[in-house]
Amino acid sequence: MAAPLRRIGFETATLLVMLAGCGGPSPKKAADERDHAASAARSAGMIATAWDSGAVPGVYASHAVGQMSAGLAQAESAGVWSVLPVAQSSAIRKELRTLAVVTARLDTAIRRNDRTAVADLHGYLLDHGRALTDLPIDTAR
Amino acid sequence: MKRLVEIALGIVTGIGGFLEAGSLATAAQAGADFRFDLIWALILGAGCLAFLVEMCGRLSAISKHTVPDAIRERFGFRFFMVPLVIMQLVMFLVMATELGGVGIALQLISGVSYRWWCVPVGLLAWALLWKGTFGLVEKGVSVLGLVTLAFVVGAFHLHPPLAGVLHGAVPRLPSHDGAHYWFLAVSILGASISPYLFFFYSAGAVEDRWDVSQLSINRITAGAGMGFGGIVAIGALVLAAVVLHPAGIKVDSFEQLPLLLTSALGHWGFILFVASLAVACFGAAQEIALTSAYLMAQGFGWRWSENLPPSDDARFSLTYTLMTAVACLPALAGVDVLKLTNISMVVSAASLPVVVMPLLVIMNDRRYLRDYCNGWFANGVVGAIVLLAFVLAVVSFPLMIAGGG
Repeated sequence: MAAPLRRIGFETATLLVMLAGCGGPSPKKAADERDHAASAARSAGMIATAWDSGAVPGVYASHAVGQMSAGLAQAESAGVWSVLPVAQSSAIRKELRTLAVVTARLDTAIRRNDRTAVADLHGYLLDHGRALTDLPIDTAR
Repeated sequence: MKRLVEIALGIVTGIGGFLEAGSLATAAQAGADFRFDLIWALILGAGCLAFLVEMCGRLSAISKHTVPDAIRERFGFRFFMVPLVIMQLVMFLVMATELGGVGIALQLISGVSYRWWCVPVGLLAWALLWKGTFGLVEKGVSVLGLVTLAFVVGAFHLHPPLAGVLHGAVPRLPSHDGAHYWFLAVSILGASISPYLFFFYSAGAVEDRWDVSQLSINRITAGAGMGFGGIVAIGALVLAAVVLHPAGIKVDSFEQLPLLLTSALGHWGFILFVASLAVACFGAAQEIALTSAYLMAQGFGWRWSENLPPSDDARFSLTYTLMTAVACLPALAGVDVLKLTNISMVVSAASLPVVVMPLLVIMNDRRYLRDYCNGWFANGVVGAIVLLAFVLAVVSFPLMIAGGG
């Protein structure tokens, strides 16, 4: 009776270790993080466009874009990039920094009701969001 | 005429009560990440829910027992403690999610953080329970919940490809990101087949004094109500598939979700989204607070009814008061509402076996159901749901770790 119980205990412990292993940084997690950051940038752009067309109020647009900017700034300092080669990690962090700054400016432009600035920043946001997505990450490693 | 009104109200309750923070968030995540591929999970969830809800109503109409009452009587108090403890934990998580959902809706229009809204919202929910009747909770909020039909209108407005939508109704293996696909499938099932709904529905049948003559109404309410409710959730998934997926947007926060309706309905879309989220989550929060009290009162044999003044069923009223107060804490502490939603839906899915298994036994016990026991078809379906529930319980937590992030 004790042996099967020990075996079950060992298998459970192995499973837990494997599951815990899922929590550490990996190229797959880095790719996911990059995709989520690019998604946040696109969302900010879409919200700004909706605000410009009068579909959403400024109070919502500003709050949501501000939150996305904070998320992008947080992503830049995330530990997940440490698994990537230094050059790749630096390039991603640079794009994230730019996106965080652009979304912060977008937030300010919405607060000021500055539609010209919003249109300019939206274009800039699209370019850098695309650049971020285009940065390759080898998830097979 | 009276019967027609009852049927209409039952269907309205089903539609208005189906969508809440969990089903909206999981449907939107599924549409954004996998386009129409997970529509089958919503259909399966709504189908399972309709079957189980019909049984709960039938049990109450024939035996005058609620589900917790019957479980305690049939299996003994010690066994009953298992679903009691597990379900209270699940309901705490789901209710915290719902209060957070109302807070987010108010944050969207006011800019004031959802953390500041959870206490006033909790107080309002509690005050309505304290002063109101079962009819107010059941019908009032559900009728207002019809605003969620905006998701269906929005989905039609954007002309989604019919072939793609129908294709998604057939279960399939994922083409990419398998862990995340199955995690979302489990979350959708957890959000659809919420065990608290069985308790709420059976308690409602007893509160409304159902008898054998109500069985056909019960069947129509369960089938049509939950079916139409499922269509509302499919509307949200289709909107996410048409609006967010092509833009490469993943759903990471509730703040992205107004885009679903603004893309289809413009400024009105924003207003309808805020109203849908607020009403649906508020209604669900009230139902959960009540269900928590029903579960305790029916399990411990206390006096209970939402139609009695609180002084006549003090322990029942105290339970929903405490549940409402405690459920405000996660949002007050600033917990991420979307993450809490995902966790609570997975925990909800994992808790299914502890309710569905005993229900299956009771539904075949002639002492409770007399000549209205389950037939072979109903037993087959519930057997399949029990199997599904077991699979969900086993895989939900590993999937949450591997695919939920």
